[in-house]
Parts: sequence; structure tokens; C-alpha cells
Amino acid sequence: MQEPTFLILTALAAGPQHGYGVITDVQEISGGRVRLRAGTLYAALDRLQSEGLIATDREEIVDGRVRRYYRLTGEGGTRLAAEAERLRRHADAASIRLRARLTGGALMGLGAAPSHAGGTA
Amino acid sequence: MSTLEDRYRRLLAFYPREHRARHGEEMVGVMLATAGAERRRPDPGDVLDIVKGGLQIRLRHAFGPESAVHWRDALNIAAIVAPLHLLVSEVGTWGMALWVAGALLPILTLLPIALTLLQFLVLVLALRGMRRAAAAGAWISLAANVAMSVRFRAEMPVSSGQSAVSLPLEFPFVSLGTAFDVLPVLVVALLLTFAPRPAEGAALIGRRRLLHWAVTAALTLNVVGALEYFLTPEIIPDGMATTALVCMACGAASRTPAGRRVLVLLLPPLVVIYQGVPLSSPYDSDWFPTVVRVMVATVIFIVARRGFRPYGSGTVSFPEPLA
Repeated sequence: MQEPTFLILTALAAGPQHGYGVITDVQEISGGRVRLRAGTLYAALDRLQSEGLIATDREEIVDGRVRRYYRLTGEGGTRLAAEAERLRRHADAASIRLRARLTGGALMGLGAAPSHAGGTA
Repeated sequence: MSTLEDRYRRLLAFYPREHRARHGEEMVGVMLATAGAERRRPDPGDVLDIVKGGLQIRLRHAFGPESAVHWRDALNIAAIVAPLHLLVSEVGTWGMALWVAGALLPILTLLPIALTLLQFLVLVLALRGMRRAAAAGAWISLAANVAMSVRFRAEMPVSSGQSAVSLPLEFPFVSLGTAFDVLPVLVVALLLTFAPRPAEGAALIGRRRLLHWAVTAALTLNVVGALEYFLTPEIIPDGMATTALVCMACGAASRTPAGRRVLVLLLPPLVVIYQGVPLSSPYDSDWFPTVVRVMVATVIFIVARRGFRPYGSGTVSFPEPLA
């Protein structure tokens, strides 16, 4: 799952949102790093709808213009949960190895210090 | 002066019509909301993104999983339209063929008629849902056409300065002199072999409509052929009637998703079969007649695509009377 898709599904996990709401929410979730444009958003929404991961929730008329709300479907929720779990496992694995690396480096640094000190003494 | 909204709206031309109808206003609203109050022209990055998004949606609709049903329908329709086109093309020359039949060897008259009857049988079998029998008939027809083509090329040397395709009358037995003549039959055999249910293709178009087109096209080709031969015998027929009929059929087909896919399947072999004759005749050295032909073909295609409504509604095939 690509990052924009993951972020769109994450935005919709909180509740139904319209297009502009998804864009602002994704920007907030990503800490301002991901700014979706309309072309990318609607290409993704079209694909996600055809895959049954999202669905149209309701429509409103605001300033004479249609505002359509999208919601996460049951299948969309399952896919997002699976993807979140996969990313969490990867993040955990990375964290564990980084801790081990840091710990090992520290131990090696501690082990090396006496010999170095001894050599100079 | 066009506004930012107008400019955004024009960019939506890159999206499929049904997507524009459903999401157009919504997308314009989102683009305006993200643009800010000061912007007068779309950001180049936004323009690229809109174009890319439109192309992605078009590609997914054309080849994605949801298009499988349209491709299956298109294959079924093509498996009926291709043999029908072949049959009409051949029957369309019968009037003139019978006129000059006495001057030709009987084998050159009877064999093409026998092959046309075989094509008719293939079409009937396909329409009755007997796909395997129809495909077998098409492959037999192909073998017979290849044998006849080889024999014709070996036994009928063309006089110097005149090639087989430049003969004034394009009868099946004359055009069999070129290797291209077996291509239509090969296309038919392949389509009938791979199409899951050709009879469903006929039902999708409508059997009455198919009959209507076939009879109209065969009559038109015969009448135009006779008029060309008797009124202007010194001028080589330029195939404008065929061009008009093909463009009309293509325009009508392009209205539906399955029809557009039929065009994708059949246009490459059609272009090879006519060797570009419908749009640019090899006999013309002057560019003007070619331009006129292309313009006429384009107009016919557009009128057929939009649906000719001489009585206010209906189409060129089924105009609805005023009453």
C-alpha cells in the first residue's frame, strides 16, 4: 500500500470526510510532510471505491456546489488494520535492532576503553 | 477573461465523461479551496497532477479489473461484426460480379460464391450459439482462401503496368491476388476461436439492428459500385462508400465502452485490410481529394457518434418520428 493511500484511509478511519477535509487531515497526520493535490486524491478515491475499500457516505450542497463525503468500508478498515500492523511490526523490528546496535556499540566502547587506558598507563 | 474556476474546469477534459459528471463540481470545489484567494492561474504542479490523475483513471477504466466485462462483451461483438463485415463486403460486389461473370472462367465466379456461402454459414452458426462449429468453419474458410489465393497468384499473371490491386473492379477473386486477402478471414477465425459467446455480442447490438446495417450496407455498396462503373467507367472507384459506412459504424460503436473496445480490436486489421484506402487512396497524387475524403470521413464519424437526430430524437439507425 502506497503512503498516500494509507494516509487517505487513515483520514477516513476517524469518520466520513469530504475531499478537502481529507487533504487537510492527511497534511495534519503527516505533520505537514504530505500535501495531496486534487488529481492524486481523486485518482486514489476512484481506485479505492472500485476496490470496495471506501464508499460514498452522503452528499451536501455547499455554496451551490456538491460536497460528497466518503467513508471507510468494513473491508477498508480490515485492510488499513492489516497495513498498520505490518508497518508496526517493521517499525518494532527497526527499533529493536537500532537499540541493539546502540547497546552493542556502547558495550564495545566500554570494553575498548580499559584496554586503551591500560595501554597508555 | 476566463476565471480560475473556468481554467480548472477545462482541465477536467482529461477525465472520463462519467467521472466528470459525477466528480467534476466536487473536484473544482476542492481545487478552488486549496488554491487560495490570491491565485489567478492554476499552479503548474496542480495542472500536472490533474492531468496525471485523469490519465490514471482513464487507464484503469480501460484496462483495470472492472473493464474485464467490457472487454468480454467487445470480444463477443467483434466475433459477430467481423464475419458480418466480411460477408457484406463480398455481397456488396455481387451485383457487378454477376454482370461480368460471363466473361470470366466459371471457377473464378463459382469459387468466391461458394466461399461467401461458407462465410454465411459461419455467421449463422455463431449467431445460433454454436461457437466451436463456427470457429471450425472459419478455419476451413481460411484454408480455402489461402489455397485459392496461391492458385490465383500462380495462374493469373497480371499484365505489365497493372497490379492486382489497381484493377478497376475489386471482386473477391481479384483481390485474392494479394496476400492481404486472407487477413480478414484470419481475423474472423481468431475472434471466433477466442470469443467466449459470440451470440451474446449479437444480442448486445440487437439482431434487428445488425440486419438493418447489413442490408443497408450491402445495397449501398452494390448501387454505388454500379453507378461508379456505368457513369464514370474511366475513374477508378475510390471506396468512398465503404469509408462512409465504416466511419458511420465506428461512430455509432464509439458511444459505448464495449463499442470503443471493439474499435480497438478491429481497427488495426481494418486499416491493413483497406491499406489506408478509406482515408487516403493510393491512386491520388493530389493532396486535395485526400483532405476532402478525410474531412468527409471525420464529419460522418462525428455525426454518427453524437447520434443523427433528424426528427428531434433517436439515432441515425433508429430515428424516432415526430408523431
